[in-house]
Amino acid sequence: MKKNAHEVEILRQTALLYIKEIIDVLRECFLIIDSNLKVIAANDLFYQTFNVRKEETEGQLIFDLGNRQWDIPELRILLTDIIPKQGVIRDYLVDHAFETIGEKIMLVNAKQIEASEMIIVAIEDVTQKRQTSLYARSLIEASLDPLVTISAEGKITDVNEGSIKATGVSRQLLIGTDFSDYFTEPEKAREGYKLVFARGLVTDYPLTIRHKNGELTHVLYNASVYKDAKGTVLGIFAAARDVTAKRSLEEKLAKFAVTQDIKVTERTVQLREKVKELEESNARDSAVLESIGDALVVVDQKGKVKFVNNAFEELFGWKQEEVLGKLMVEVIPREDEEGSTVPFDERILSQVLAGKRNATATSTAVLPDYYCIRKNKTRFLATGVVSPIILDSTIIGAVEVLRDITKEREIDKAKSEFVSLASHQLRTPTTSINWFSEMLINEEVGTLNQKQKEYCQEIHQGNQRMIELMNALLTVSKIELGTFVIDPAEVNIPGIIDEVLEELQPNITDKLLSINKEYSDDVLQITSDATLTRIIFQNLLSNAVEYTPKKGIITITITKSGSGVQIEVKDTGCGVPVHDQKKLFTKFFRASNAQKLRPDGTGLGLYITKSIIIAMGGTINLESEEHKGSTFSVTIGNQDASKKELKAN
Amino acid sequence: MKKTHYKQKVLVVEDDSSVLRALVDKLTREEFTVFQAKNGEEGLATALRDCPDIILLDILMPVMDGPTMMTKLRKKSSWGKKVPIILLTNLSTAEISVVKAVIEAEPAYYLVKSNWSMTDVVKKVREVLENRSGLKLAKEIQNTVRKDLIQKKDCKLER
Repeated sequence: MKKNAHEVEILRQTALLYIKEIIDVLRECFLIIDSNLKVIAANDLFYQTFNVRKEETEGQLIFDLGNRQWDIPELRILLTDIIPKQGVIRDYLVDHAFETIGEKIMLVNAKQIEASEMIIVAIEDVTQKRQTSLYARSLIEASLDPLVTISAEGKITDVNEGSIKATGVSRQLLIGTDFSDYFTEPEKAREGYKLVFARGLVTDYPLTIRHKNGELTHVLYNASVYKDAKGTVLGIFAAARDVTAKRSLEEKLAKFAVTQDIKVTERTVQLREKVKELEESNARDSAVLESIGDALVVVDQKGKVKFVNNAFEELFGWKQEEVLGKLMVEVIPREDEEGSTVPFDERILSQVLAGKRNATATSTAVLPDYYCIRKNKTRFLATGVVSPIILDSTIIGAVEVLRDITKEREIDKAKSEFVSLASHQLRTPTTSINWFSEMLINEEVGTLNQKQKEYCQEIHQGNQRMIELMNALLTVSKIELGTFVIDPAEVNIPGIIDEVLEELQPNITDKLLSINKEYSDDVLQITSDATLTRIIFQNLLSNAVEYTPKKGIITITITKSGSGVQIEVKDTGCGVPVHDQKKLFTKFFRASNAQKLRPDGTGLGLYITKSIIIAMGGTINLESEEHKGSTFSVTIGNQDASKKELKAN
Repeated sequence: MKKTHYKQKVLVVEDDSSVLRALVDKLTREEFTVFQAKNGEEGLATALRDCPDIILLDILMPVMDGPTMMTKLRKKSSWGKKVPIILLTNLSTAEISVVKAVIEAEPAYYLVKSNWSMTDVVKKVREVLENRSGLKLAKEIQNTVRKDLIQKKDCKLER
């Protein structure tokens, strides 16, 4: 072995010499160290580069070089840990600040030579290169846009922070992977870099980067190939411009435009519908206006005719086109019975337009009956209403509806004549029956025997009932025809009641009835219609007297009720059966027990009574128990309704 | 019943013969000298000729109605101006306004035929005759009559 060891030593020395020769000509710093990490040799470039002398180096521990400036932790790890294990170090970057020569970035490659246990350490000073590269890198990193270098095979060789952000993938994982993997359209990406290789340059190539969370970044790539000194293409440098914001803005704009478009469309549809609605409503209104049998004219705020309907044209003989824009008061003059023209400002239309009449949308002014003059100068009696047209509380016009009431007046007259005829013609025969039977009963033309007298009395009484019935019927007809006129005046209720009681006195005396009067002092006078009030108490009191048995009690109570009075007529009579009470006030209805007691009653008394009370704005109520008695409560004189007429004339 | 003193003259103007007869018979029995006429024209002639103390005058009659006769009578003679007239009415629609107008302006009265008993009619005639000299009294009676209008079972009519 010793001889062998010697031979080995000789070989080693020889090899070393060769190596030394070799390393001296290489343009890289070389160190040869032994297994104890002591420097055996270094090339000249090493000494130059790191500014150390040969004498200070050879035989020294590598870490002690340059006054221990070479005690670099990374280098220690490389040489004491990695080399013994792996025997080789490839392209390890060591960045170290030397006291004498400043910062150096060194690319370290090392290899242990087997058998000789020597380690050859190649150190390339890449400081300059690296700084340029770092500068470039910092530029690259400083760029927010995703930048990437791609190898000729399409693998990512480097990326910047922008790319990491855009993909969500770390640098380590990105490098070495397929460039095309990170796009929504890998094929397009591949085509893209092929294009770069083919043309050397591509600008504004649109691609979409897909983040691993799915988020998309729309980019435009500018890419160019990069070459080595000999012009061999090494790869592609690609810079993407993030146009997502722009795209999203554009999309938003597009969307906005679409939305606007939709909105506009919707609005248009709405407007169209509205227009349709209006047209329909217009058509409906026109149809309504046209179909109205009454003449209708619409005027603007100046009283100028804006519209007339068919009935207007027919009634007045004016065509719409003849009167449009003309003053209504001039188109249709109006005069009173005597033929004197009603002045313009007294025309209700003028007053309504001037807001002098209570001008609310719902209010209509009822026109007094005047004669309207037609186009052909003939006239007719008209009635009508005027309503203001109010928009935003401003009177913008008015609608006047007019009706020829000539016929109505004729009917009215005929009706009145019938009532007159009925009352006159029917009453005349009853008058003679009344008087002749009376004279017979009074034996003015000779004595009658008992039977004859009784018969005559029957005739007389029958006739009396007929007169009463006729009076009642006439009253009913007046109520129903609305020819009653309520004429309010101060009336003395106790006075009226006393007068009625006086008329009933014979019957009251006969039946030994007691009349109790319980009057409040402050209600002697009320405003009511005397004649009608009389009719009310005639009916209520005669009923009380009629249907109360002998020795019964009738109590009349008057109390104040608002501005009017409440009058109660209470009797101890037969009462009204419960099932009859509801219908008691209806025409011709008679309670079952009353029918038995007095078969000849008309069934009109309470109907008339209630009708009158209602017309006067009062109330009537009944409380009754059969066989015990009835109480009728009436309130009257309580309303301004007193001036009301059942028929407006 | 038979007295020889001056019989007061009553003119009854009424177109309904039955009613006319009732009134004439009754008033005759009541010792009045009774003249009768079937319409206003006859009535006016009779009145001007016989100068009755009182006239019972129907309102609605053919040829000439009561109010027309009354107006003419009032115009034609000084006697006619003063003679008391009781208008006989049934208070029909057409009559009510006439009656109202007449009693406002003239020394006249009225009674509602169908509502009045014959006894009451005679009573009213006597009353008017007894008071005919005094206008003041006449006014009072007029008021009474008006009250009667309200009291009797009838109601006011329109117009």
